[in-house]
Amino acid sequence: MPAGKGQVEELIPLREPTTLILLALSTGKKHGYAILKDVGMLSQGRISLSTGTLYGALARLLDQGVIQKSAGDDGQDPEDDGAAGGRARKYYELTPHGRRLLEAELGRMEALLAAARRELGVAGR
Amino acid sequence: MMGRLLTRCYARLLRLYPRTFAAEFGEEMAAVFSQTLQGVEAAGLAPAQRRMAMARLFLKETWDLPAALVSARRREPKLGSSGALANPGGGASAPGGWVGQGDPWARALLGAVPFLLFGLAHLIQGWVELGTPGGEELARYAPAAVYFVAALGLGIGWLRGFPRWSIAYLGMALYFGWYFGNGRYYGVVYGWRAWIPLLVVALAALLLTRSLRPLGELLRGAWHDWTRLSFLLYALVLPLVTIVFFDSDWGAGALAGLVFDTLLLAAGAVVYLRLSRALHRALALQIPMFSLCLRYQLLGGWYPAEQLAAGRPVNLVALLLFLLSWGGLMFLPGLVGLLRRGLSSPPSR
Repeated sequence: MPAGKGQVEELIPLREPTTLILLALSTGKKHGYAILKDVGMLSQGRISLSTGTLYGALARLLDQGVIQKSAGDDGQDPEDDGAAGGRARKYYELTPHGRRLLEAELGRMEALLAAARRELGVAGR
Repeated sequence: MMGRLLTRCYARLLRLYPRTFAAEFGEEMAAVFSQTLQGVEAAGLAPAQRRMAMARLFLKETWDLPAALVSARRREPKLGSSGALANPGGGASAPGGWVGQGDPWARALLGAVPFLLFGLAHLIQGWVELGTPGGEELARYAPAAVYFVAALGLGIGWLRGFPRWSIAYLGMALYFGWYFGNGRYYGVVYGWRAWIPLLVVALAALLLTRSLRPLGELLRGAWHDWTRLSFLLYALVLPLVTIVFFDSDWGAGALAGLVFDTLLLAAGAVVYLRLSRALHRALALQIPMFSLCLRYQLLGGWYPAEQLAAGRPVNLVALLLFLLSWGGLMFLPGLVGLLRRGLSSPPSR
């Protein structure tokens, strides 16, 4: 059951892998392999998701209405090295609700970072 | 080559996922895993480093598997719609699909594995008892390895709602729990600790499924197909019978007999799993039972073979009663079938 507008607050704080998945999707629809690579890049290699973890998260996000499946692009993905062999890929993209959720989570992190800088600034005097 | 092997192994792991989840995401997951491996292959690493990197990827998948299974099962619909527990035993001609269709060859052979490993473990012990040099450590740990495999098979069967082949693993695990817990094993008294592997499996399965439904499926399976109880007895009692018979004397002839008995038990399991009708299944289990008991009676140290050794004539009636009592054990669960039929038949007017 897709989550409604008022349920954004209920879903945050998000776990870091979930935030990274949403960040990866924030730039456009992607398939699973591309999400996996983007998460690794965004975390500077610190987080490497297994396919089981990734698709568990994608399934949960689909159920929550945060992401949705999308029609694939015609032609081959530039990142694709031909491994799919012409099989139809499944793409995922953020829903408007998902975008609001990501913005709320980033806002929460920014607020936390600002508070931390203030405290550290006070402690450093 | 390693990539293809790991991809095939990964495809096997995907079978542990609930059916709806696997149907929705399984193909994608396999494709992504394959692409990830190909990414490693294309990274220009030295062969040893490449193999290590690919192995690490696969290990990461297996390490994350329990948590992924929990996550996947949380979103499963209730039992009876399309979850992994909807068709525990194969076949669809009866409620829940428990009877009416034999298992495919792969599952039937899977159900025979515990018996083969049981025989192999005790065969190794017998070789060492006969004075074959080396192998003492192997002989000591072989039964433990079989116990581990039985417990693992039980756990996988539990996650999949106790399909028929998993009953063999349940019976064998219970047998080995008794085997290690009863008396001394190489000077060690395990006692109740021998049941810890089963407890660990049960706990892990409960945590992964977060439900008692698989246990409910086990009971419902026995209710709708009483031969499952027969198969459980088959996997629990016949290995026990075999080992009690061979416990007193390990001779070369006894080892040959053990090989024969192992193959007979395994063949009985395969035939049982392949058949579709309850009566035929029960008979498939009876044949090895009768064969073993008859052979032990005539060749072993049990009554009335003791009478033969003492020079007294064999009491055929006693022999027949003995065989019927053991044979009846496999048909005893048929009372469940009769009860179910009695409860489900319409009242007479």
